[in-house]
Amino acid sequence: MKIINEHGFRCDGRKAQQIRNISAQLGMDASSEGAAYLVQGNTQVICHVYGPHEATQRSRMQDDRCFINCQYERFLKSRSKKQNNMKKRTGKDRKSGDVERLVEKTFETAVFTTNFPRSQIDIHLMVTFKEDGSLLSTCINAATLALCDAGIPMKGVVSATTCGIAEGTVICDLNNREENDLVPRITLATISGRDECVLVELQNRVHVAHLPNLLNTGKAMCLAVHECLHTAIRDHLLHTIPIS
Amino acid sequence: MELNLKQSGIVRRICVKKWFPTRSGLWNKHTHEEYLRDDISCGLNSCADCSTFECKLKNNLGILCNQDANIEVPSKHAIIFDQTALVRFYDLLDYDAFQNVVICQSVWNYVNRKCIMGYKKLNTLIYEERSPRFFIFLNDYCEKTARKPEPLVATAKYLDEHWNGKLEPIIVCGDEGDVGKYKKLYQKSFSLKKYIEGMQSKHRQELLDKLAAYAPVEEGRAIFEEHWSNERITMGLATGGIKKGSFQISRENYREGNVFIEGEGTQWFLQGMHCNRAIHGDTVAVQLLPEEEWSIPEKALRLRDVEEYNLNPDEDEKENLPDTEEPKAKKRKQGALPTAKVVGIIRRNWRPYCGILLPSIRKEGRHHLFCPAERLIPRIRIETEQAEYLAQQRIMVAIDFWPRDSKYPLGHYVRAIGKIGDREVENEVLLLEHDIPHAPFTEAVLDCLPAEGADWKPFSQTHRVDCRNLVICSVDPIGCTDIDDALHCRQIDADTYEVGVHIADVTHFVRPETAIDKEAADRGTTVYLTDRRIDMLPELLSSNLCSLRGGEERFTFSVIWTLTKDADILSAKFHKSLIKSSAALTYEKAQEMIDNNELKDEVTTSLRGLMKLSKQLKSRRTANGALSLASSEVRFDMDWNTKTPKAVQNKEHLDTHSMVEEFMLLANISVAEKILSEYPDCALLRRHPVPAESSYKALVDAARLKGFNVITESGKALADSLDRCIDKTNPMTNTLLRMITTRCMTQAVYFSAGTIPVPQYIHFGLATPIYTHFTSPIRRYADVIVHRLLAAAIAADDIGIGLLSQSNIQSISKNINIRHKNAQYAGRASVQLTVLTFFKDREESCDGFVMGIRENGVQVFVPRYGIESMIVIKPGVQVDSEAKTVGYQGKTLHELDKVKVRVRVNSSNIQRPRIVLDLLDPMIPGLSVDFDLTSSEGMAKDSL
Repeated sequence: MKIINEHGFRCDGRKAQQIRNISAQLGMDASSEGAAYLVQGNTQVICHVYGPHEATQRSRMQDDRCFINCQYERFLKSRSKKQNNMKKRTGKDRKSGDVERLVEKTFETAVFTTNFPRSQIDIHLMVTFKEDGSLLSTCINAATLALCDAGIPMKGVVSATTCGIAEGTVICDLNNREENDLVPRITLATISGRDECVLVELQNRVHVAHLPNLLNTGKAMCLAVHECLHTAIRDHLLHTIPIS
Repeated sequence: MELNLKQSGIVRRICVKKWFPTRSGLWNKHTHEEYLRDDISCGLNSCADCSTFECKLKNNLGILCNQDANIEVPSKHAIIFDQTALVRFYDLLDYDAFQNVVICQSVWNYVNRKCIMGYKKLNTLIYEERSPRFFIFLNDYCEKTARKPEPLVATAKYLDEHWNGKLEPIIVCGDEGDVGKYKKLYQKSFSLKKYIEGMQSKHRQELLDKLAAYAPVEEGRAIFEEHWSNERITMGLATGGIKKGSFQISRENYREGNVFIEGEGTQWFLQGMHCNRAIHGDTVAVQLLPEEEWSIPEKALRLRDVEEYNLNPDEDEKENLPDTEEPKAKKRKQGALPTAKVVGIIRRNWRPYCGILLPSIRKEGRHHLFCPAERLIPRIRIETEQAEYLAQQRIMVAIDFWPRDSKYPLGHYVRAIGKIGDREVENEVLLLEHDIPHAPFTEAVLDCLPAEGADWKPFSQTHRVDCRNLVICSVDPIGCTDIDDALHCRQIDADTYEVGVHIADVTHFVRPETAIDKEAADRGTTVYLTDRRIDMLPELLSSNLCSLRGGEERFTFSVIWTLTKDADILSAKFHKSLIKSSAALTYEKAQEMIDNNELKDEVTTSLRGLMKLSKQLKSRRTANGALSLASSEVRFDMDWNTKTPKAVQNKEHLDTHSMVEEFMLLANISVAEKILSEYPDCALLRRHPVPAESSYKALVDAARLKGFNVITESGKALADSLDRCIDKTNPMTNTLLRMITTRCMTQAVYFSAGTIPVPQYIHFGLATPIYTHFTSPIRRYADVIVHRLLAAAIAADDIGIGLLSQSNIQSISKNINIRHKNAQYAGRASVQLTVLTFFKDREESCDGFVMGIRENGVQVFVPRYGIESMIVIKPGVQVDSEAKTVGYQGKTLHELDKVKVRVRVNSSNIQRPRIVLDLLDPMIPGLSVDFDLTSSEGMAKDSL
C-alpha cells in the first residue's frame, strides 16, 4: 500500500498534513479528581487523574516534589461467548511500559511538581483494544485534559502529535493502516504550542536530512492540536458551574 | 462534542467497518475512517470553483474540443469509462480519438487490482506523460459521490449537474450487457463499440479492429472439450489423477505434441483434438488415456504451410478445411506411446507474435487468418477491414482467447512492423521473434564507459603483472574486430614450454551492479546475423578497449601454464596482466607463417611451438572420447554496401583453427578446475549431459541402412565407431552421420555448481569432467561472471554483491541459456533469410542428400547452402517408411542417398517466397521435376 497515493491523498482521504478528527469530553467522572475522554480518529482514550495525594510508593517519594505515576490499560474483548463482557487485560507488555514511562516523564516536566512535595499524582489511561494509530500522542493529550480537569497547575497545556515521513513528504497524525507500514515516525509534545519540546520519541530510523523538516512540521501540528485541546477546555469551563 | 471536524476541504467523516474471518472461525471487525471532501476538482478547465483546489493534475477537460466528433454524442462531452472497458481495452487509450476522458478513482483502483498492465498504461499516460486528454476524478473522496452503490452513475450525475451544460459527461462501458443497467440509471450511457462506431476520426476502423476480437461469438458447435475448472485441476493434481507439464508441438507434425511432465522427466504423447487448444509452450494439465487408446506418431510430415494455404476463414471453417478429418487413431500397435489429453490450461505462454496475414479469397471479408512466423504457433483469426493494406506488411498480433467453438484462437492486430520483403523489417521480425534485445545502448550504459580517447589506464594496480615483454599474438578470422584472445609460447628448456592464453579483461571496465553490467547480463550474448552484429557490450569496449589489437597495450586476464613437450600440465597460474600484442593474425596468415620454413622470427617460433603442443592436446582429447561433430553451418560473403549476399564462403579447415581451439579449451578447463575448487557451491560451469541410449535411435537406424554399426554405450565408443563409418563412394556420409549425431544430443547448458550431483557436471561432447566458458567475455556474459569468480579466487578483485550466491548464479545461467539458444536460432534464421535473398533471381543445381523419408515426402539436405527441405510425394509412388525407401518402377531412393537437386525460389506467392528443391537425378516420376509441380508445392524452407 502506498502511504500517499498517486493522486496525492492518503488512504483515508486526508492530505499529507491534516490531522484527524478530535473530540473530547472532560469531567465525566466524579469519583476521580479529573477525568477526560478523548477520541482522535478512532483511537479512544479514557483518562482519570487521582491526586496529588500522599505518596503510597515510598521508594519513589521525593522530599522536594511530587512524582507522577502512570498506569496504562487496554480493554480486551473476551473471546469466549459465555463471558461476552469487557475484560481487563492482565500483565503488561513492552509497549504499555513504554507509554507509561514516557507519559510520566512528559508530565514531570510540565507539572509544577515542587508545589506538592512528598506526594504523587496518578494518571490512569484506558485504551480500547482496537486502537487506530498515534497511541502515545492521544494518551498524552487525554492526560493533559484530565490534569486540567483536576486543576493541577502546569506550565501550559501539553499537546502531542505523531508525524511520519513517506517518500520525502511529512505526514501527520498517522492512523493504524499507515503505522503498519515501516515508516519512520516521531512523536512530539510541546507546551502551549510553543517552540519547546517536552517529548521526542522516534520509531524506526529516519535519515538525518529529513529530521529538521520532520521536527518543524511536528511542532506546527502540535500547535494545531493545542488549539483543539484549548477549545475543549474552554468549552468545558463555560458549561461548568463555578463554586462561588 | 465534535471539535475538529471542519478542516480545510474535509466536510464529513464516516467509519467503514469490515469483517475478517479469524483462524478459529470467528470474525474480526476492522474499522477505519474515511474523510470526505468538498475540495475535489471536477477537472473542467473553465470551472471557476474548482480551479482554486489543489490537484496533482491540471484541470484540462474541455481544452480539447470534441464537439461533433461523434455522431452518437454531438455535443461537447467527457467520457467516463467503466472498469470493464479499461481492463479489456486499455490499449485503445493511446488513440487521441478519445478526448476528455474522466477516469474515476474507483475504476482506477479496480484496474490496479485486476489488471496490472492496464494500470501501468493508465499511470504512464496520466502521471508520466501527463496527457491532456485525461483527468482523474477522485469520486471516492468527493463528498457528493462517495459511498454510492453505483459510483459511476453518481459521478456522472454529479458532474452533469456541476458542469451545467458546459460539458456533458457520458458513461462508456466495455460490456454490451452492462449498457442496459447504466441506461436505466443514467440516460447518456453507451457501449464502447457504439461509441467508436459513431466516431468521425480516421482511426475509427483501426479501433473497431482492435475491439472486434472481443465481439461475442455466436454459440456454434463446440469443437473442443471444455477445460476443467481451476478447483478440479488443483484437486486432480493433488490426488495424482492428472499431471502438470509444458506442452510442446511436434516440429514435424502440427497435430501432434508432447507434454513434458514437470518433475518426472517423462513425456506423454498428444494427438489431434486431445491437444485441446493448448499452444506451444503453455503449461497444461494432462490426463493419461486408457491404454487401449494409446497411439503412435504418424510417420508423415504435416506442416500448415502447405495444407492450409489458401483457405477462406470467412466461410464456415468446418466445411472448407482440407484436414477436418481426424488423424485416425491407429489401432494399438507395437510400441504405442503413453498418450494423454489436455484437460485444462494452467498457464498460457502467449506473447505478441510477428507474422503475416494470409490472403483471403473474399477480399471484402472482415475475418482473416494470421500466420505467425513461428511455425509452432497455430494460425490466429483476427478481424480487420484494412486487410489489403496489412497484406503487404509484417504485422504483430496478440492472442486474446480461444473459444471452444473455434478452430483457431482469436486475436487482435497490435501493430505493423514494416513492408514484407524489406531486409530491415525481416531482420526486425527475426529479432523480435527470438526475443533479442537490440535497442541501442542507453545513455546510462554509455556513461559507464571511459570517455573516448581518455586515458583509461589506471596508474598502478598491484595485482597486475606486466607482460609487455612477452611475444604475444592473436589469431582470428578475417575481419574480426572483437579480438578477445591472444596466445604466447616460450620454450623454457628442452623439455618444458611456457604457454599463455590472454583474454581481454572485460571485468575491468564492466563493474558489477552498474548499468552496463545489467544490460550485458540481460543481453547475455552477442548475436551474429549474416549482415549485422548485435553487441552485448558497446562498440567502444568490444572493438576497441577490450579488443587485443596488434601493437597496442591492453589489459588481459591471463592463464599461464608450464607444459612438458608432451603437453602435460606441470603448473597453471592465473593473473591479470598488461600485454602488448605483437601481431593480430588471421588463421590463413598464421598458417602461412608456420608453413614458411624461411621465417624464423619470434612470432613464428611461438606459433610453431603452439601448433606442436596443440596437436598433442588434440590427440589426447580424442583418445579420451571427445566427439567431433558436424553442423550445417553456412557463411556468406556479403556485399556490405547493399547488404546483399554475394556468394557462399568456402569454409576451409586449417590446422590453426584447431590450434587456437585447443588452447581455449585448455584454458576453460583449467579455469573451471580453479573456480570449482575455490567455490564448490557457486562456480558457473557448463555441462553437456550424456544423452540417453534411446535418443540415438535415429543415428543407429540411419547407420544400419548404410551397413555401419554405431556403438553408443559410451562417448569413446561412439567417437570411434563414427570414425569407422566411411563410405568410399560417398565421402559425405560420414559428415551426415555426424550431423545426425548432433541432432540426437541435447544442448550444453550453463549451471551453478552445487545444484546437481557432481558426476553430472560432465561435458559429454568434449569428454571432460568439468568445463566452463572463460575465453570470450566480450561476447558472452557467462565469461564475465567466470572472470569475476576467478578474480575473486586469486584475490585480484573485490567480491561483488551476489557473486557468491548460488541462487543468483543459477538465475543468471538460466537467462544466458535462453539467450544463447535464441541467439543460435536467430543466427540460423538469418542464414536462411540470406539464402532466400541469394536465390532471388537465380537457380542452381546442387548435390543434396536424402535425410529422411516420410509417408508423404522426402527430406533433402543441401550442404552447400544448409538448406533442408521437403519434396512432396505424389500418390502412386511406393513409400516404405519402415525400410525408408521410395520406389517407383524399379528405381529406389534410400536414406542418405546422394541426389541432384535444383534450388530455386518459389515466388508464386509474393508475400511468402520460399526455397524449393526439384529432384533432377535420379529421375523418379512423382518426385522429379517433370512432374506437375503446381499442384503440390515443396515445403517452405523457412519453417524447417
